[in-house]
Amino acid sequence: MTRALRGAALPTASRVRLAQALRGPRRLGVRAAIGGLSRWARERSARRARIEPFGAIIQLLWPRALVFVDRARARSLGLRPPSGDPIWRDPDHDGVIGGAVLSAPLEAHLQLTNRCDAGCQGCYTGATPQGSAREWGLDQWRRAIDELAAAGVFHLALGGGESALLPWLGDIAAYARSRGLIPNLTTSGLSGFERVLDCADLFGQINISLDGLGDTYAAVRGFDGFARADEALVRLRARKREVGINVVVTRQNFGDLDQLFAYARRRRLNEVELLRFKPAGRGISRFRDLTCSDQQHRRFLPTILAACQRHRVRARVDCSYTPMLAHHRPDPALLASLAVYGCTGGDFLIGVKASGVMSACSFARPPAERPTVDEIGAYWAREDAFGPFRSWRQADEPCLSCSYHALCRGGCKVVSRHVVGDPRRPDPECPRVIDWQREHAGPRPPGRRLPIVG
Amino acid sequence: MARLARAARQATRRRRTQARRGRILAVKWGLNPNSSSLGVDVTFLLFGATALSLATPVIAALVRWRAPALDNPGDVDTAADRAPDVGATEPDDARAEGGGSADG
Repeated sequence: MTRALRGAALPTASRVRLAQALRGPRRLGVRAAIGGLSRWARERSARRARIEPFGAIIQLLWPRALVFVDRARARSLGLRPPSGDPIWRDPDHDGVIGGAVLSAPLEAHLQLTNRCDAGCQGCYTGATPQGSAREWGLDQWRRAIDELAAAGVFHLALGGGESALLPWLGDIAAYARSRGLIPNLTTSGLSGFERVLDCADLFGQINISLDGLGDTYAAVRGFDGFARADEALVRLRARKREVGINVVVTRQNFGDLDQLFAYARRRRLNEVELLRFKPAGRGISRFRDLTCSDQQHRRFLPTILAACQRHRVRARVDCSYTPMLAHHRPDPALLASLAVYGCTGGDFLIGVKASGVMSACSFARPPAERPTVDEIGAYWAREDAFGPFRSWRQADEPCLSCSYHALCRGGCKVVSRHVVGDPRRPDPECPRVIDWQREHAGPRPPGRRLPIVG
Repeated sequence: MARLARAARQATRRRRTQARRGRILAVKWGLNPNSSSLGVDVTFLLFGATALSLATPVIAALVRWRAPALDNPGDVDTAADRAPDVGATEPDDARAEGGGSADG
């Protein structure tokens, strides 16, 4: 038995104790087994924590979660700000997420390159085979990761362009791990996929973009890459459990959402992440054709929850979908306890362009000062950082009186900027905003009545 | 009458314990691989607050099991400051007190 334990993946001390216990009385064996189990759980439980104005955020490795606690709970865990740090000075912020901007983003979205040869018609970064001018290299991204780690960022989401084209993708993921950040990856599963397979274990979660099955993939993306993406998913899933798909929901593929969940189940994927189509990059010119209709937005939540239940696959939704969730009046307390927030750009998350320039989110234009991510410490603390993204409390009607405003934060500012020309205005695709505008529209000019057809 | 007084005393004690132990405000599940937006898991909306109220004490126990390392280390509390009730279920009235957040 002792020899068998030598081969087990346990720390040496645990192995010795377990072996001793097995040789001794049975009661000792049970105690040792419980001890081993508790050590196993401890190694996977709380890992890092960060003080916040409302209390603290604690990172769990298993289950994978960020836990937001108030100040009393933080104190009871032995967490409190360093002497002289005023972060807990304002008692009104105690226990109130969103009462003040976080001390640092939870996650940073790094666009490692803008190179990609797929040429998707709605690409939000406008990626090309040549990439952007002044793209950062490995050393510069390493310095950025140092700064993000020093700020207390928990997760990285690596993307592009197609970051699988970068020969140093594995190096940057390993470096992030060494600095205590969990790297995650989105890839098309097309070019450079062998490189992703080689370093798959370094990532917490890898999702492959799959906007439809068969012909729908081509209708949404503008080229037929479904077979290759499907093969990539099969190979990746054989290598790793934490694999999912990213689906940009458009007018064309909305009707296929149930089939996409069925596909995810068939391929044993652990999640489907649903993203709203944004008017950014090449998506600006295609926005009117591809964005979902109002009716589809209203049906979004029941459709995905039914698919979730039917196919037993987890669903994640992007922050810009919060208005479509709020339309169904779920309990705001439940949404808050799931950390379902609307636009959290420049607060919970930041985007970083391939040139290292920060923006509130990947779809947003960089601030006028064009701060780079290695300056995050100084820029984050500025009152005017990220402009309209942090001034969501100054809202117009109907957001101002909406009971979900503290969660939704006015919806997607990128859509507002594109459709109504001002990111501070309420999200024009929010069903509640549309209903309010209908109710408050002035009398319509008299027109010809159409004949009623029997 | 005596029963009412006892219930009131118990409620007060629960509130004091709650105030000392604090609350779990929110749990953001999973990892977001998407490099364009903050993905949140909405699967819990299927099961509602009941499932979440069952999961939260487990999360509370896991958080307390190993004191997390602080990224920006501050003063360390003494053992006496720490709540002794590891992973215990919170009182029902905690949500009402806490302005709509989950409790641990």
